[in-house]
Amino acid sequence: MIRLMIVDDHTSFRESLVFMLNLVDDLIVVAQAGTLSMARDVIRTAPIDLALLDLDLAGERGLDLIHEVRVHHPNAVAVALTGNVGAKSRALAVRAGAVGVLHKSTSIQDIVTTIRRAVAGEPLMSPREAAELVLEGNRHEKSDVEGRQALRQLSGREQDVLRALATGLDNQGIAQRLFISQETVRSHIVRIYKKLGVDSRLQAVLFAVRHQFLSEDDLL
Amino acid sequence: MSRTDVLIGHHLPLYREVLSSTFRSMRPDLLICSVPEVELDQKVQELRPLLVICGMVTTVIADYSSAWIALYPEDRDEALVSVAGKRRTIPHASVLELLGVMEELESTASS
Repeated sequence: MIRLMIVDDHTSFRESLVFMLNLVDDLIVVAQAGTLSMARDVIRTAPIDLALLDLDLAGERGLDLIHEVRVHHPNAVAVALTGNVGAKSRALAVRAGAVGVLHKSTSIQDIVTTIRRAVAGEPLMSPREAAELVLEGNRHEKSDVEGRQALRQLSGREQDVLRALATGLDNQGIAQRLFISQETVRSHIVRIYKKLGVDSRLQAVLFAVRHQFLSEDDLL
Repeated sequence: MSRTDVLIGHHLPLYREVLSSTFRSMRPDLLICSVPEVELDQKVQELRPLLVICGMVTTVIADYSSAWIALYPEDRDEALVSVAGKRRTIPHASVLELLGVMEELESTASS
């Protein structure tokens, strides 16, 4: 019997997936979670052979769980299940140690087949494909780390100006909102450009969104 | 019932498959159909289901269906429910809560 852990923040989907997988003779779902913290709790205690992990848990990085599965269950494997079609999430998942990445356009039968193959130790991708994904993941991770470091270098006031830029305010509007002069706003913006390595307001905002300093809710 | 009770047209195929299969297992008395999102508007008009479950509510769904559930709007774990024009949100909606909407419709129809 293959023991599974399912992590996905979409409750009714997760429950349905668990229901379906439990109907398969050689599979049993021994743990499920909808948040990163719940998943961390069950990873420590549940005996699992395979973790099927959503990569985006209500804005939290499900990616981090892949490593934790490997730490707590050296013989278990992790497979990512994502609704994201981007190559980046696939690359980061493989770099983190996932043996496979499934998209939510797949069928339940494909998931069952993948689970069996992964637990049996069969490769789900060629060594070349895996190596390329790891290298691509390294590039994305490096870019993410550098981006977050650059954003951490912004002063509190520069962060306020960046948030104001995201709402579409011009210099006058930002000055009024933050009770500073337009000249001071211009100085802050120049420093923001320099620290982030960008040369326009739009680029600064996109940089902040890409590195999760700003969310969609912060935008105009 | 001879008509389609529940029409599921979420854009993610896996969601459609597991939700429809689970619903069929839990409520074998219901006629549940699953269609790709691109066909949903057309099927809503053809089949006139009692309940539509989708990812995004289109004008056709709003106009032709008296009850619908939009699952995971903007990727949030919630269900936006509309029954006879009255809307409510169910946070972290479970399968039982989704089926509860169907029971609500059945109860209204029989009273």
